[in-house]
Amino acid sequence: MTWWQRVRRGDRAEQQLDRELRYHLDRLKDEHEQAGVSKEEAARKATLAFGGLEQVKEECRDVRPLHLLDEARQDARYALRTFARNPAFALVVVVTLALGIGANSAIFSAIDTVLLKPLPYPSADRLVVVAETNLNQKTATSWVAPVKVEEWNRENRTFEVLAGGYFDNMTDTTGALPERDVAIRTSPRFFRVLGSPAALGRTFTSEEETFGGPAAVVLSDSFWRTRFNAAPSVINRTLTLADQKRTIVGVMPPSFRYPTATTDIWVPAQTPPGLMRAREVRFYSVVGRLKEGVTPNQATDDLLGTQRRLGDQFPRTDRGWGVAVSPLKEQQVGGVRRSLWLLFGAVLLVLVAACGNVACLMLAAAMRRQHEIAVRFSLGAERRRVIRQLLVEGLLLSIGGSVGGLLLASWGIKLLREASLRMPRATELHVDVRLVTFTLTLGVLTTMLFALAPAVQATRADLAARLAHGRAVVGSRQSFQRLLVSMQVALAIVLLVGAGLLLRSFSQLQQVSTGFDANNVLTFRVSGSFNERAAAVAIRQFRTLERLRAIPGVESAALGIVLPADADADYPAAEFTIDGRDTGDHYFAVARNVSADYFKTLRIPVLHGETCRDDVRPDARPTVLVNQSLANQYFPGETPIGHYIVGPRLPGEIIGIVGDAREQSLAKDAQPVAYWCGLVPFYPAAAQLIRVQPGRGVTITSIREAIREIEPARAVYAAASLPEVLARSLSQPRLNAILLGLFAAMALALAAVGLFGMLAQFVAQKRREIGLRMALGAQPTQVFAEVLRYSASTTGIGIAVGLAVALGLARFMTALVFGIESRDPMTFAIVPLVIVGVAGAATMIPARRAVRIDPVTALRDE
Amino acid sequence: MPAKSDLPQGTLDMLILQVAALGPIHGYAIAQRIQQISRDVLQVQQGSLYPALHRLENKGLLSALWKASETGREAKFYRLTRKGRLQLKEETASWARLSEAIRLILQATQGATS
Repeated sequence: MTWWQRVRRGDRAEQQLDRELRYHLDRLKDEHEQAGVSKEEAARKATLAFGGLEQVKEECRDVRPLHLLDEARQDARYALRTFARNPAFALVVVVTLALGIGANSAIFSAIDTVLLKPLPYPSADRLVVVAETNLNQKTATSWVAPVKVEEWNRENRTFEVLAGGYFDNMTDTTGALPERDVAIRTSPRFFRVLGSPAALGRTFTSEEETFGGPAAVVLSDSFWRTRFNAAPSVINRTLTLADQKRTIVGVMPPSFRYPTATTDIWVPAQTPPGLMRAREVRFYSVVGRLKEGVTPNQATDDLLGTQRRLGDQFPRTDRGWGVAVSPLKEQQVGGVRRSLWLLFGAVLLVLVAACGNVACLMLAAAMRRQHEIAVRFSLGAERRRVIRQLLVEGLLLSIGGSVGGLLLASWGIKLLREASLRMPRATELHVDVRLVTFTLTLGVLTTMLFALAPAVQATRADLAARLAHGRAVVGSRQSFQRLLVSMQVALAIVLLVGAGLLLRSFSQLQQVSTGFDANNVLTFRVSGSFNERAAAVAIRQFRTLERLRAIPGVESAALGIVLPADADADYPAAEFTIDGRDTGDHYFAVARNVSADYFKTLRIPVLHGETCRDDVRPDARPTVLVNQSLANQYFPGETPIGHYIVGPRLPGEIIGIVGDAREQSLAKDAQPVAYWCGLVPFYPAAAQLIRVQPGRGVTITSIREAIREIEPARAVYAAASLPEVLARSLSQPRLNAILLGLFAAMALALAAVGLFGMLAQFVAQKRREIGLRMALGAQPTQVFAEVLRYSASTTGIGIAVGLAVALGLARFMTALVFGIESRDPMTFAIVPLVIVGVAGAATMIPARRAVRIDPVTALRDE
Repeated sequence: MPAKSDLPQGTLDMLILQVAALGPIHGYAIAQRIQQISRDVLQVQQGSLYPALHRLENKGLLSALWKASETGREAKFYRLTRKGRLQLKEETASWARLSEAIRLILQATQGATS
C-alpha cells in the first residue's frame, strides 16, 4: 500500500485496522508458543492460520461505506471512460471552453493588474496627487510652485508628507556615445511620500536634497539592468549627467515606477533660493501621503484653508488659487478604466456564448446516452446520483478548459503587454495566483452554466416513455436548444455592434481632416536639460535648424515644444488677454511655441497676413499667429491682425492667421490656437520637425550624422516619422477595436456552429418524416423552405433580442466612439446583415442534406 | 476429534451477534468462543471474521471500543447495540423456524425410507 493510498483512505482507520489484526495474530502466535513450538515456527503457523494479513485488510476495506471522495473518484473514472469512447466530443468542448476562459483570464489579468490591485507602494491607497487650481480658469489643474510644496508640508494637518517632481531630460556622457536619460527631478521628501525603500543602497539624504549639497542619483531597476547589467557594485560609481558627475547612491526595486515606467533616474532638484521665492513659477507635480483615515475631500478642505491664508498673505501671486486632491491610482489608471471594463464585458459575453455551444453539445451527448441513463435508473440509481455523474463529466471538461485557458491567457498576457503601449501599469502584467484562482473559479462556474441544464434535462422522469420510444423527449430538447442558439445569435449581435462602433470610430479617427500634412515629415529630439542657460539653448537651436536645412533633400526644418496631435502632450488651453479689451471676458487658447518654418513644414496654410520669422535678436518684436478658430471666436467681424495679446509666457502682436489644425488630439476638433513665433530657449529638448523630399534618401541615420557633426555630446532620441507618431497616439483605440473585433468574431463563429449543429440534428431527426413526405410527393423546395424557416425563426428571435440589447447598451459606448453616434445607424444596419449572411451559410449544408434525403432508404431504416 | 466444518453461508453474522450479546469481546476471543462452544466443530476463518465484524459495525449492529484485554494489551472490543439485539432476536427466531422445518423434513423422509 503506497503512502497516498493511506492518505486517501484516512490514516486513523488504517492504523486501527492494523492494530486490531495484529492483536489477533499475536494471540495466535502466543497460543502456538505455549504449545511448545519455537518462536519462528509459531510465527509461521500463526500467519498461515490467519490467511494473509493484507488480504484480510483489503476485504475489511471493501465493506467500508463509500465516501463522497471515493464516489467522486468513481464518477471521474467513469467520465474519463466516456470521453475515451468519444474523444472528438471531449476535444471540441475543451477547446471551446479554453478559448472562452482564456480570453476572460487575459482580460481579467489586465483589469486586476491595472484597476484592482493597489499601486505597488506601501499603503498605496493613501497616496494622492495634489494640483493647484485657478478658480478663473476653465480647465482647472496646474502644477505647483516649489515654495508651495514646502509651505503645504509645514501648514497642513491631513498629510503625513508631500513632495513634488518634474520631468527632465539629461544628457548622459558617461559612456563613449552621448545618451539621453529620462530623469525625474525630485523635491525633498520625494521617496518618503512613496514609501518604498531602495532595493540596493539608499534614497537621498536631506543634504543631497538641499541646494548646494552633494550630487547624487538613484537608478531605476530597468536602467540598472540595461546599463549596468544589474551589477551590485554600482553603488558609489558615478554617472556624468549634463556635464556633472553624480554618485549613484541607490537602485529602486522593479515595482517602483513613479511617475512613469520609462523613468531612468531620479535626481534631487536642489531648487536654488531664487527659484524658491518665485511663487508663480509652477512646475512640480505633487504627490502626497495622507494620514491614516483621511479622505481626499478632507485633505482638499485642509489645503484650501492653507491656500486662502497664502492668498491673503501674497495677494498678487496667490489669490484665487485653490487646490484639488485626487487618488494617485485614479490619476494613473483612470484613463483606461472604461476600455478595460468594456473588453471584460465583451469577453464575458463570448464565454456565455461558448457555454451555450457546449451546453448544446452536452445535451446532444446526454441524449445519445438516454438509453444508458435509463438503464442506470432502472438499476436503482438515484436521479441526484446520475445528475452528479453528468456534472462531474462537465467539471472534468471545464478543468481541461481552464488549464487550456490558462495557457492561452499567459500567451495573451504577453501579447497585451507588448501591444498596449499606452496602457498604464502594463509592465506589471503577469500570471499570478489570483489569475489562476480566477481561471479555475470561472471553470467551475461555467460548468454550472453549461452542464447543469443539460443534466437536468436529460434525466427528466418519464422513464418508461423514454425507454419505449426515444422520440418522446425530442420536442422539449429542441426548444431548449433553439433557446440556446437564439441567445448565441443575440450575443453575437451585441458584440458585433460594439466592435462595429469601435471600428467605425477608429476609421473616422484615421480619416479625420487634421489640417496638416504629416507625410514625409520626420521628427526627433536632441537631448538638453533645463539646467542649461536659455541664451545658449537659443543659439544651439538656431544652429541645429541651420544644419538640418543644409542636408540635401530636406525641404524645411522647424521646432515646436510638442508634436501636433501628440496624445502625450494634450495640455489644456491657457488663458490669455487681449490688449485694449477690458470687458471681463475670459479668453482661452492652446498655446504653442513654434519656429518660423513650422507652418511650411506641416503645410498649414497661412490664410492672412505674414508668417513667423526666426529672429534671435534679444530685442526682437514678439509675434503671434492665430488660427482661424481663434480669429472667428474672439475677433468676430474684425481682423485680429495688429492686436496685441498676452499669453502665459509672453505678449505678442498678431501678424497672421493660419488654417485650423488638430494640434491637441486627432479626436478633438480644432480649438483656438495661438502660435508664438520664435525658438524655444526655455524648452531645451524641443521637438524637431523636418519635411524631406521623398526619394532623396534622407533618413534618421543621416540626420544623426549631421547632428553629431555639430553636437557631438548630445543624443538624438524619440526619432520617428510623424505618421508613426500619429498612429501611436491611436494605439489604445486600435487595440480596443482589434480585441473587440476578435471577440465579436469568436461569438459569431460560435453562433454559426451552434446554428449549424442545431439544424443538422433537426434534419437528422426528421429524416423519416421528410422521406415520407417526399415519397408522398412533396417538392424539394418545400423541404428546403422548412429547414430555412426553422433557421430563420431561431435567428430572427436572436437578432431582435440582440439589437434591442445593443441599443440599450450603446449609450455606455458614448465616451469611446468618435465621429459617429453611439447608435450609429450604419453599424446597426450592417450587423444584422452580417448575421443573416453567416446564418444563411450555416443553414445551407443541413438544408441541402434534407433535400437529398432518399425516401426509400429513409423509410427502410426504421 | 470431530471433523471440522466451515460455517454455513449467512450464519456467521448471527453467531457473532450471539457471542457479542454476552458482553464486549474482541475478534480473537470471538473466534475462540465460537470454536469452543461448538466443541471445535465450527472453525471461523479470519478472512471472513473481520470483514463481517466491520460490516456489522458499519450497519450499526455492533459498536466498537478500544480497551485493555485480558493480556493487558489494547484490543478492539465489539459490543451489541440495541439495533443489533433486535436483529439478533429476529435472526434467532427465523433460524429456529428454519432449522425446525429442516429437522421436520429430514425426520419425515427418514421415517419414509426406513
